[in-house]
Formats: sequence, structure tokens, C-alpha cells
Amino acid sequence: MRLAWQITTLSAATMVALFMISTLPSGAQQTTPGNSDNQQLDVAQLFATTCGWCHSDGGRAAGKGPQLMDTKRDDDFIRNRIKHGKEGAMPAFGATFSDAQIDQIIKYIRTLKPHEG
Amino acid sequence: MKRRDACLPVLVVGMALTASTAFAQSVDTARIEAAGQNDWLTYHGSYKSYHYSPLSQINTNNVGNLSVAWIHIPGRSTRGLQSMPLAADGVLYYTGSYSRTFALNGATGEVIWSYFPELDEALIARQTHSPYNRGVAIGEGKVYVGTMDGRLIALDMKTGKVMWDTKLIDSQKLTVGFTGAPLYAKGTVVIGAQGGEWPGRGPIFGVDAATGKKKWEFLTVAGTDEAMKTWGNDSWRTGGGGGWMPGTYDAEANTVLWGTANPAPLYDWSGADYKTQGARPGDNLYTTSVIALDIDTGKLKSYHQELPHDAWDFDSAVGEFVMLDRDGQKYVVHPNKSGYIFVYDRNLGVKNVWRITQNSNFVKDIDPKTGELIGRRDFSAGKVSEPLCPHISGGVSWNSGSYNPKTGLYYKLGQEWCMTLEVQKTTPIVAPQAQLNIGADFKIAPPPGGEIYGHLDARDPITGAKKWEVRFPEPPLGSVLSTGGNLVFVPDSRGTVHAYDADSGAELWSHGDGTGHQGGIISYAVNGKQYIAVVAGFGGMASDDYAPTFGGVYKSMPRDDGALVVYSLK
Repeated sequence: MRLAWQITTLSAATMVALFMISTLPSGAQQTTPGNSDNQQLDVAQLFATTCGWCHSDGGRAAGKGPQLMDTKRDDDFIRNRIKHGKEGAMPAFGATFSDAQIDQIIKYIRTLKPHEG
Repeated sequence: MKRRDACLPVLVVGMALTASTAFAQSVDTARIEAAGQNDWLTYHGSYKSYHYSPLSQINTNNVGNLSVAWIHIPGRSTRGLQSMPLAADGVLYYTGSYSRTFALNGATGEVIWSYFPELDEALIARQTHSPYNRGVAIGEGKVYVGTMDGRLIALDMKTGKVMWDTKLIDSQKLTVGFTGAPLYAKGTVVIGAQGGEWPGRGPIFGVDAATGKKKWEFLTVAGTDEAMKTWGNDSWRTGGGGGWMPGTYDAEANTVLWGTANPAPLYDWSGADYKTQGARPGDNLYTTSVIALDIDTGKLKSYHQELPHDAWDFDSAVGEFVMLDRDGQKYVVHPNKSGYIFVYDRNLGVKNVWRITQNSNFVKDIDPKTGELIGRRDFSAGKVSEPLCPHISGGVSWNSGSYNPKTGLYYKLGQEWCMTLEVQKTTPIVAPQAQLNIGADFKIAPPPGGEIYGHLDARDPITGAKKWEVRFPEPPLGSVLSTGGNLVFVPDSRGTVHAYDADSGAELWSHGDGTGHQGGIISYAVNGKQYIAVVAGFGGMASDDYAPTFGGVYKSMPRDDGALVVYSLK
């Protein structure tokens, strides 16, 4: 069974596991039957998939959205913004990510460093 | 010549008065084709797509006396105003964000009717390319507007009453809807879905103008057996595509011409062997193409894929389809987002390709005889060493240029900017709702050895030969208007509207609208008086980059405000 067809039939929780499936050529990709909200999310890939158009350079630079690296915003603010968005500025992802996954996104933001070199 | 000029104003006034009396007289295919003196009846002005008004009351001699006649504030202009107003029989029709639709007295701005559709606000809150709207179509006594939650709505032209409301897209699942203006022709309303980087199959719809019933649907991703073979590994299921800006109608051929969006993900990690490797192996038909569809059936008649296997988000959904005749040959001129301008015959055979940008390196060139890409850059996963030019916002904006049949020149804005890029492998997300599929981290960057800038070019539309150029410190993002008064109007990003001499490029007039422009500009006449209408209001996928990139006036420029500003002679 090909990847794309699988995706269309997966539940929301299972779908999240697909974030991790990135290193295989398209034709060889397979899904992992993950279904835990606590499963490790590849947030770096998530930025290259969805977030990075606005949060430039993987969140390291200001773009349409603010620079996330070294942000002074606290976790509650970021969590709330990811969940509910901001009209005209950021989509709401509360229906897409669980609280645990949003915590992983916050953790990624807190560990962002400039690219070496 | 002198004698004809003397009689013309009387004739124009007479026509206008007659039209006003018969308020909202029928707008049909023949009338849009003819492109009347006083009106602006479809997004691109007429089916010829000139974005040109023959009106000459405002001209090079008196444009200095141009001043604001009236202003309309639509409210709730989240991400500014981006629509192209239309004008028919003295009434101006336009939209704001959330598909708010207005009919205004063209002479005074008085609201005749307004319509605010009830939308799925929770869905819209999850969208990225939203909630702006780029305009309406008119025809058969109705005004047609698309919505972000996947509907096409017809309103009575006189009252604003809903005549039909047709759901075309499952936006809850696909996340995208309609932001582009529809096209009316021959009893059919055509509208294309958003798509591009959104995993889906990018449908374009033909809807019965009288009943709202869907007549046909064309999938821009793998919409034919031939096209299906150009998507390896079933990648067509999440291929992107779409047609998010309006095309035009070729009455002689009974054909709709439409530009299609890019494939998803935006950036591919295939390396040079894109035919067999990467996220979407193959040419990915019919993305980043110009397609010709039979207006009655939606069947594909011909196409040209401007960028096979587009790996740079330089789609063909942008821009006008300038239809002109020269030396017995009928041409169609269509800009690709990359900044290459394609010149076709009416069967979409390539006749020439020229480039408006200075900074471009996604390919070395495009063969002007065949349209074949020469020296294309196909990336592998990882950091891209040399910045990619142009930037993802394009060598040209999605807004339109203008062709003036009197000067024979095509007035088009070019954009000079680049981007740093690190390509990353991604996996399409389609549940619980589809999400963007970019395929890279990136950042805006200046061109090598220079600064970002924009330019208005006056060029021969067929050969690309440049007559003059005007530069702007930041790329203007709005549409261009040229007129029979030998004027070219450019609403810029800082918020100033400029009027230039169409022959020389000399600036003759300017006026501040108080906020940046990124939408339409038209001219029309009511009771013998000429007006210029422009939408002001900044915000969106390109303009949201301006504050962090340029600072200055953009730091305080609102991205939730806007106005329709209408000018006339004092």
C-alpha cells in the first residue's frame, strides 16, 4: 500500500506518527502504527512542512511570523497561540495537535540555536 | 480626428445616462467581450485581459488635478484589501476580506447593498492563505463570489439577495477554499480552488450561472490518464495544483484559459533525477501550466506546462492572459510567477519567452522557441549553497500588468529578491485537516551584490523589448492600470498611487492612500465623469514579509485595515 493512500485513511493520532517518516524515498515510505499522543514528534520536520513559511529558517529568524529562537514569551503564551492562533496572523492548530505534542513544539523552540557556520 | 473628439463627450454622456436609467442592465458574454467604454466587467477588464480603460477624460495634461472623490471602508479588512473592483452601468462592485460584498453608487460611494456571508469561522481560523478575497464576477443579473469555506454564491445584482449558494469543496478536510475571483462567460461561472502547497488535487469548477448546479470539474493534478503517468509513487493523491486566480475566455475557440498552481511539496529533494526520484517523481501535469478547457464540458483541449516538475513555487496561476493580434497572428501573453513571460498562439503553442527580472537563477534560461527549461536547478535535501532567485513571492506578483493598445506597450511590475534555502524531506499531512507541505526552511535575501527592489517596465509584449523602467525601493504588489489618457497607474507598497506618462515613464502625479496596496485598480465612468478606483490595505503572504525585511513605514502599517479609494478630476 502506498503512503499517500494510507494517510487518507488514518486517524488524527496515527497521522502524527507520519511526521517522523521522512528519510525514505517517496515510493518506499511506510507508516509506523503509532497512536500515542506522547510519541516523539519531529518538530524540525514540522517546521519544514507547515510552520516555516512564516517562522523563517526553522523558527530562527523573523519572517511573516516572529522569530521563535530566544523568544521571551512564556510557555503558556506559546501554547495558547499554537492552539488558538491569531486572526489574520497565525492559524489555530488546537484541532491538529494534542497538548503533549504542543509541549514538544515548545521544547523545540526553547532549544533553537543558530546554524553552525 | 478633431471632429470625432468633439462629438465623443456628448456620445459618452448620452450612453452613461441611458445606462444609469436602466440600472444594472444585463451583462452578458458579448458585452464583456466588447469591453465597453465606461465599464470594467470582469477581473481582467475584459476577456482580452488588458487591464486597460479607453477613457481619456483624465489624461497627461490634467492628471495633476486628480483628487479623492469618495472613500468606502468595508470593515474587518483582515490582511488588507486584495480585490479587483468591477463597474457596470454606474455601479461599482467589490469585495473585502471574508467575502464581504458591496454594490456602491459609482459616483458617490453610497451603499446600494451589501452582503456579508455567514462563514465557517472555525475553519477559517485554521487557514493560512486567508481570509482575503480577490473579487467577483458579474453576468446574467448576478454577482458571483467565492468563499474561504468552499462555496460559490450568486447574488442578485440589484438587491444583493442570495440567488444560489453552492458548496464545491470539502474545505473541512482540504482546509483550502476560494480566494480568487470567478470568471463569467457563456452561462457558466468558472472558479479555481486554492492549492499549490496544499495536498489535494486542485479542482477548477464550471457552474451553471442560472441554477448554481455544478456542470463540470477539472482536476489540475492528474486530471487525465496522460497526466496520471506523470506522478510517481501515487504522489498525485497529495499533488497540490489548483487555480487560485481567474483566467479568461476565448470566444472564438469556446475555451477557458486558466493558469494552474504549483505542485506540493513546494520544494523537492529529488536532485537532478526528478523524473524518478523525490517527493513527486515526474513532470506533475497539469501543475504550473496554462490549460485550455472547453467552457461547456470542462474537457482539456490543450495545455502548456510552463515549468515541468516545478520545484520552486513559480506557478502559472498568477497573471493576466493578454490577447492581442499582430501581423495577422493572434497571441496570448501570460506571465509565470518566476518572472518569465510566455507568449503563445491561441492553441498554447510557444511563440516566445522573455524575462522581466534581472535576478533569476532557478534555471539558466528558457528556450524562447520551445519553452524548454535550460540548466534547471533541482535540489537535494540539505542546505542550498547559492541563494535561489527570485524569492518565493515571485519575479512577478499575482496581481496583473496592463496592456495599452494605443502605445502597444505592456506595463508590468518585476520583483528583485532572493532566498536562502535548506531543503528538507517532508510527509504530506492530510488528517484531521490538510496542512501546508513546504519541503524546506527558507529566509528572504537580497539579490547577489545588491538590494531588494521592484520595477515597472514598459515593454513590447511579444518581444520583451524594454522602452522604459521606473524603480521602487520595495517591490510594488498591486495591479497596474493603463488608460486612453496615456497614463499608467501604479499603486505601490508604501501606500502611494503613482501616475506615469505611458510613453516616457515620467511621473506626473502621486497621492498617498495612507496604507500599502496589494490589490486591484480600475477606471470607469458615470454620467460622463471618469473615475479611478483602487483598493488600499496591506497584509498577506508576500506583504507580511515587508515589516521585518524593510522596516520603515511597514513597521506601523496595519495588516487588518483597508479602504476603497476613488479618484476623479477636481
